[in-house]
Amino acid sequence: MINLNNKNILITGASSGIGRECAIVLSNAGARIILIGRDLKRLKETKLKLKENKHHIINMDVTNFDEIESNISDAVAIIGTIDGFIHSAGIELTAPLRLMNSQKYNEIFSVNTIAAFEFSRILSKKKYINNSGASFVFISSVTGLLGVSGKVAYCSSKSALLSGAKALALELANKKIRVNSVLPGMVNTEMVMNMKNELPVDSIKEISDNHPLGFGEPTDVANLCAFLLSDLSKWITGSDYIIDGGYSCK
Amino acid sequence: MEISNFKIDFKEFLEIDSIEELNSETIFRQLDEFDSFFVLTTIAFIDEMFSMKLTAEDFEKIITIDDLINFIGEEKINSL
Repeated sequence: MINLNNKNILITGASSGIGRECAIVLSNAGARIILIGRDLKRLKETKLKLKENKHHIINMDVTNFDEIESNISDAVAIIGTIDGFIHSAGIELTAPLRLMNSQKYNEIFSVNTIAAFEFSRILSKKKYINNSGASFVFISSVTGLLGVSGKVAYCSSKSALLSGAKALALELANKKIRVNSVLPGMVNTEMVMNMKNELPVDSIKEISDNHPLGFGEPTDVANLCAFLLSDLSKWITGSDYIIDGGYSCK
Repeated sequence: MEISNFKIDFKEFLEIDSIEELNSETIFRQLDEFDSFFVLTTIAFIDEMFSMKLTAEDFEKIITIDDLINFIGEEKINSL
C-alpha cells in the first residue's frame, strides 16, 4: 500500500480527467492536495470526492504565469511546504498542418509544456519545497514518442515535456527533487471522448485495436503517479513511464 | 462568400485534384483523396471557417458538397 501521509501535493488540471483522478487516489493514500484549475465549480466537485483533509483550491489559469508564485506562496503559508507536483493540465488540438499557425502552437505549448516548467521553477525554491526531498511528475503522452497525424502541436508539446523533465531531473537532483514523466495511451477522459467525436468511426476502431488491453481508465494512470510521488520510487528520476495498454509495443 | 467560391476554396483546401470541380454529383467517399484524414481536415476546416463543430458522426450523413453546404447553412456561407 502506498503511503502519502503528511505529503502536500499540488496538481494542475485537477478539475477533470487524469488530474482529478490523481487527486482522489493520492488523497486516499493520505496526501493533502492543492487543486489547481480554471473551473472553480469543478474543482469544488473534485474536492468533495477527496478523503477529508486540509485540501486547498487554487482557481487559476495555469498560463497566467505571473500569478503562480503568489498563489503557491499563499498555499504554502496555509498548508506547509510542497512534497509533490503533478502537471496534468493539458489541451488537445486535432488540426491538419495546413490549419496550424504560431498562435495555436503557443496556446498548446503554454498549457501542456511551459506551465509545467514554470510551476517547477517556482516550486523548487527552497522556501516552497520540502528540503528533505520532493517529486515532480509530468503527464506527457505516448504521442510524445509516437506521431499521430493531425496532432503536430499536441505531440510536440508532450515530447518537449519528456526532454524537459530529464533536464530538470539533472538540475534539481542536488535539491533532492526527482522529476519523471508518465506517458499514457488513450484513457477514457472527457478530452479523449471529445477527440473521439472528431474522428471517423473507422479511425476510433483502429486506435482501439492498437491498444491490446483496450483504453485505460484515469485510475490506471493515477496509481502510477502515486508510486512516483511516494518514497517507494526514491531512486527514480528522469525516467519515462509508458502506460498505454500495449499501444507502443508495435 | 458566394457558394461557388466556397466550393472552390473547399476543393483547394482539401487538395482535391482528381476532379475538375465539386458539384452535386460528386460523392466525397468516391474521391481518390478520401480517407480518414479527409474527414479530419473537413472537420477542422469547418471549425476554423465557421466556428462550427462537425462531428465524425455528422460527417457520416454528408455525402456531397451540397450536404456540407446544408449543414453549414447558405446564409452563414454568404455572410462570410
